[in-house]
Amino acid sequence: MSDVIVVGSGPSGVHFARTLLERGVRVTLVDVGHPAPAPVAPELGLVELKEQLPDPAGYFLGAGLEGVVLPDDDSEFYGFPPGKDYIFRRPPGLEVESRGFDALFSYAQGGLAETWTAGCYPLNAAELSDFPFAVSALESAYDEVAQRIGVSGDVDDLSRFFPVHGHLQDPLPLDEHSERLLRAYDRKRERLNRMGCWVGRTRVATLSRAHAGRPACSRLGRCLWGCPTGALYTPSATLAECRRYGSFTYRGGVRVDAIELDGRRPRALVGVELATGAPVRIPADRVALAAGALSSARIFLRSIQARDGRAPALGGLMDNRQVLVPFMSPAMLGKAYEPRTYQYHLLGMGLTAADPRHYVHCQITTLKTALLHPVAQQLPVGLASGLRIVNLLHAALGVVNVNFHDTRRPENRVRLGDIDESGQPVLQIEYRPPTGEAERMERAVGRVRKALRALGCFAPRRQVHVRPMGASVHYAGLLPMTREEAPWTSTPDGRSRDIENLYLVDGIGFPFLPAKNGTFTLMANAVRVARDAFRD
Amino acid sequence: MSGHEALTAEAAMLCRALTGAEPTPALVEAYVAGHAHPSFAVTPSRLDRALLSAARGSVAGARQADAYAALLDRRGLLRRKLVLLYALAETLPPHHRVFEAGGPGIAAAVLGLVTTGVAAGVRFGLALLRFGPVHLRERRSRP
Repeated sequence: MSDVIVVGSGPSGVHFARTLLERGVRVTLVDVGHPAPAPVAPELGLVELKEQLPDPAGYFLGAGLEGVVLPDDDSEFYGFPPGKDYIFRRPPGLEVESRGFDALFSYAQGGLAETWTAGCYPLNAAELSDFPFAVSALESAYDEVAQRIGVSGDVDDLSRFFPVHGHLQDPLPLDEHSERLLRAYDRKRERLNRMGCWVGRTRVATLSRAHAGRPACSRLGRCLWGCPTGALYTPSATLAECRRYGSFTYRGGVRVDAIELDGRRPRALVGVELATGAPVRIPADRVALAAGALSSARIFLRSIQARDGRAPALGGLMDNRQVLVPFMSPAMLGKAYEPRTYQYHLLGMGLTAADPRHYVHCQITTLKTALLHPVAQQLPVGLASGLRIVNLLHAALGVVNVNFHDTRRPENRVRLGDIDESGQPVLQIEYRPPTGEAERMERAVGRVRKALRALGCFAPRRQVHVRPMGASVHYAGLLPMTREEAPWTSTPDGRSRDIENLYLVDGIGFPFLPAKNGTFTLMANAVRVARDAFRD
Repeated sequence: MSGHEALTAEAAMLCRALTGAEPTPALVEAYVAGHAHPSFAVTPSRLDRALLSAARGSVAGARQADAYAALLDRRGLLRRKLVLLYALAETLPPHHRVFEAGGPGIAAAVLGLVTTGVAAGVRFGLALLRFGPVHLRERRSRP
């Protein structure tokens, strides 16, 4: 029997597992684990793909053209590209009913971070003030994760918001549009800073130089469809590293339903072998849940229900609200866009707040190789005219993704509902935005638009798009780490207070959700919990 | 004309209106196959039929119908067909080159934006005269 059974191979699970393996602990990682398909022609750039693939429409839009953004649905500008379908394929027995929350789940090897945009933002002391451990406990974990995954970025004006950690590679080269914006910021710095607005380089887990067997970014322009070279880090890379340890066992194809309990202690994991439908029972006396906050909550609740005959509703669900602010830079008008560039955000913008925990985090992405039909249909002209206009504007377009913090509120909860057709209870999710959210967003978007104007850009109010709650997929907060003992909480070192020998390794234990993308912190916290668990 | 033939002819006209070029067989095939999407399995409304009839008739008619749909029938059947064709054309060679044709310089870009905007306005004005009455009748006849 392994010393620890980890459930889930997302960013938390693999970094927890790897930290234990380095300490000589025997680890089994159990997962549904849909594998990623082999990368298509990894040497080709985006335009060459269109010209050389036998079925380019199949690659870019999917075999059933599911990547076409039709005007029927105006909930999002872009869907996930078809090459990332495997990430969201849901096995039977995991039904969800939600109100006010568009929940996304991943059952892929590497989890939802297989489709992240690689932003790595360490939390500062203010943002960690609700976390019941010393900031220093996380600092060295950030260093360790940065060394494992490779983070590129700069020490610049945004460092006032993101503490500087070790192992920072040089930043990725800027595209012309981003470079112009950064130069405009240099000229207007004083004015923008007076407005509480700071601009600089984002930190991303994309390599500017080769590291840990992965190549530097070769700027193929294919980030949106999945980096074919591995320069953009995803957790499946760490899973592959774990598999090199003799003391590691990976068991994919298993849907874990619950922890079989002997009183307050784990006895086994129970679930289903998905290929055969056969029940699975894996003996386990020490378990780490790292399946993502919602999936971990489901397993936790089912474990309690199986033992006690009923399960509580877990309150405090959090996610980052995101607002998209499209903009146009007249200085880039009539220029050719650069297909061979890094496609995700290269610049960030930070907006200060009276309470530093309420900092607003923005990522600035210039438009490059993304498909244009979702953009053209936003214009108030026919698509024939839209095509010409988008061509002329292409290099001048961009979007600011504005992220807001969230706090734990009891009304935002998760519980088990009725039994579905497969005999499993449905997971019920309820979410209501906080009072005053609309005004808060309006104020922040106003500041972003004003900052963009100062940078020489035009950001039409009509195009501002509020993403549905749940869309950012930074779920957290259902069994929070607290100093005080209370049911349905976890200890500062990440252990459940309700089930012994159960580590809550993912965002389920976060007591507060800052505006920054939390994936880097998920990884660092998993390292911290693993170190504490096996200190000796 | 069979459904397949009608869609093939429709793809050709919409492609000419959108990109100024004849469609390749690959684009036509993908366009026809794309109609298996549930979004196209609808009974066309009176306005849908009027817009589609104009769009199938000539390039000028297609652009007028496109201009009308962009402002007053954004989720209509013609609009969906045009978006499908746009998406296919931007991914399939050699049509994709039309979408990579930026970079004429700022003066040409400004001129291009102005002329395209004026043309779009004129087209919409004509389209309003042509399709507005049909649209009004359809709205009035709704229960």
